[in-house]
Amino acid sequence: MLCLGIESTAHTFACAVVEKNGKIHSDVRKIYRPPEGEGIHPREASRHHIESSTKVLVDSLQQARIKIKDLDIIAYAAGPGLGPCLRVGAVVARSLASYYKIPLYPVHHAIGHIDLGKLLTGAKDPLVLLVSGGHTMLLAFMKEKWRVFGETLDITLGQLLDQFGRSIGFASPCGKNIEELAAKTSTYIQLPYVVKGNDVSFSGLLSATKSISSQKEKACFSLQETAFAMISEATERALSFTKKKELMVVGGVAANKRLSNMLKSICKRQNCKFYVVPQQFAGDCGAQIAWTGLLEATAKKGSALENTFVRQSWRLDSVNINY
Amino acid sequence: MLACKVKITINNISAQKAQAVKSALEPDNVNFPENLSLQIENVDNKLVFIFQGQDNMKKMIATIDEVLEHVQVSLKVIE
Repeated sequence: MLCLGIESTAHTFACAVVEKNGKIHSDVRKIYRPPEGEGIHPREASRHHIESSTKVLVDSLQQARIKIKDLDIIAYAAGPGLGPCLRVGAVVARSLASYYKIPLYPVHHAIGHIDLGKLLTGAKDPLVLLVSGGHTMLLAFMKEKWRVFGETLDITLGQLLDQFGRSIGFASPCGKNIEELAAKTSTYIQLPYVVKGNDVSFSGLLSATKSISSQKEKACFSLQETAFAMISEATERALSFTKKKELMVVGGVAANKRLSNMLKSICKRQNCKFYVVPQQFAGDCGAQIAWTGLLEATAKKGSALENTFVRQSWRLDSVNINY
Repeated sequence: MLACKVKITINNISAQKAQAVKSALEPDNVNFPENLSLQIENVDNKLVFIFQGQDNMKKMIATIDEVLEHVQVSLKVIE
């Protein structure tokens, strides 16, 4: 069984073909890059997706060496995300599903990150740290739902890095630029450290880091150390509470080596296995959507076209998982 | 009060393609701004879009712009 996955929640338009046995036959993406210092403009990003969609789709099918008629199902990211961007992916998916009579599966973008992470790392029952531009959450699976054991109270870890990065002139996504600058120093400047219960708050940290942005390298180093220590504290407490023996990190920020190193030391203390999604699949991609679509297809039929909506806001812990 | 009706017709489109485009666009035809509506009709070899709006023409123009972009992308991917 082959599934085409279509991702378009934010800056990435991506298509991938994945087989039921977990083989990723193709993975093609085009990323909208806003001007340096600016964030994602939803309509500009959606125009990028419209211009890229046909080529990404064709390249994805060619890379997989198949034709559209060879597809058994199509899955698309139905949310959460930017409305204009989500609608482009949904229109592409519905057009193909309607014209070629292929079953269609709307998929939760963040659950795609988790499912693909489990496929690629081999984690069985992990505590999940989902860190991206759209989410900062600690999750454990129980009774058909991913339950939240801590999350951000304001902006996400990805937003923190992107907003600070943009303020010093980088273009989103800025995580890699910040990591490179941070690696050039080990001088720490004191910044606000806010953990409330098992939740974190980054907005004060963002403002304080902006106030020291003239010292770019020290600011980047201090920002990373503070934010990652906060999330690590919450993660260690969640591990201790849930007694999980695996920790898996997924989402775009999972590509950060410093974060991985901090989490590895926690896992060592808690006697638990550490998994991180491979860097190539840490960011948004079609494979995460295709794989979750395939998993959903094992438990239910495709959705009627008239019920295939997009949802800009869609809590991960509200999704029932029956596969 | 300024009221405006815009009718856009795509001619010479097969019934199958017209239905695919209509099915692709209709689920997003929800939660429209107040005083703005869109009706999509698939008749003979034509696909007809009827936009009706009052007062806020900027919203209407932006909606027409986005819908036409979606029609374009829908036709491109099925071809």
